[in-house]
Amino acid sequence: MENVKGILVNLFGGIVKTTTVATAFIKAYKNKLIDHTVYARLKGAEAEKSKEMLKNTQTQLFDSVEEAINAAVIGVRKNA
Amino acid sequence: MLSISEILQGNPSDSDYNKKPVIVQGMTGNYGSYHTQRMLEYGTNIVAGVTPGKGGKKHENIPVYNTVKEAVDATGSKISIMFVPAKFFLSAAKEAIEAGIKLLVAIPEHVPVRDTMETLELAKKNDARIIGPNTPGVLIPDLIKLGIMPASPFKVGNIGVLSKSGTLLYEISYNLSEAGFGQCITLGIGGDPINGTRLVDAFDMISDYPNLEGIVVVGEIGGDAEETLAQHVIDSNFKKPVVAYIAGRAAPKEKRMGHAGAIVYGNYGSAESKVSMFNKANIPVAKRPGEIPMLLAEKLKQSD
Repeated sequence: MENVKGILVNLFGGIVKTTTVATAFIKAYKNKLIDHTVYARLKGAEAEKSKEMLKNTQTQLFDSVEEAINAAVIGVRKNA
Repeated sequence: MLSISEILQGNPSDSDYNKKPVIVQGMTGNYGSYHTQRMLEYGTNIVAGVTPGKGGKKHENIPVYNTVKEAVDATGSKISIMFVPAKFFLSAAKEAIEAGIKLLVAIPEHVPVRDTMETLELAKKNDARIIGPNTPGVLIPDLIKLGIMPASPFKVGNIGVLSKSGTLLYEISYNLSEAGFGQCITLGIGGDPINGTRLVDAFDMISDYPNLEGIVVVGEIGGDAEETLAQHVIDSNFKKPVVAYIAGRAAPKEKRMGHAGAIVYGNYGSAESKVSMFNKANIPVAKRPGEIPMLLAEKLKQSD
């Protein structure tokens, strides 16, 4: 993970439920596998539930992928 | 061969007009049962499930049969959606086609190419259509969902959307809906190198759809589906607006980008090749998915 400066996730869930991904994030945070901010846009299957799950975690949630990308790029540059 | 609107909707004089019966192969499995629920919620008329060994049981009040033939005999259905593991696809598809199914929506990813090809040959001999494999399915807003797509992005309207990518189908349909461009039909051809319904076939399927005002094509690197489509649009002199998006423009060459079919060899399958052919066919290509509604609006204005 040394060269990774930020994590951007864009998901519009169909066969993949957003809650499955949210569960994975939470597990990764708990096991301290990720110390970056995660910029995420989760939409589609079970999106409302997954947003609830990720409240108060190191995930920044956005409604559009453009917003998530902008925030990720700005955030990474700020920390550079 | 029946047109797609005849299979999915039928004729107003049909007793099951807009309520065409659907069989789910693999209905009792994890994916099958979850998505059967979602399809039922959407209003799809699911009348039977097929899981070998579970015949005679009921799943959410829907009868389960051991074979597709039994399900077809009981319901008269001509449509099957398949939630079977990739390794069982060929035998399940053969069974369906031999039982008289005329539209097969093949959800599984990782179906061996050879199995897809064998299935296609059998389908052709029997006048049956295959959508997929590795497809999110086909959806007519507020009417019928044969697939795994989330319901929220789609609104009723007059735009046809064809896509290789499932996610981009949802994304772009969402953008279109937000911009006031509802959809009359949306269809995922899938991300495999061989598709049961190619982009050009899907185009022909929907190009005379009732009230169609325009078509959005969501392509991606790999293969020559977009180039074939572009040439066909030129040759057929199709008059209605067509706009496109190509995914994977920044992908490195010779790297398979997720989808089995999404790989560039030299110039074959490259984004440049597709964009250039689309330009030749007067099909504007969006730089981002979000630009599609604007391009469509411009094209519609031009044709007024």
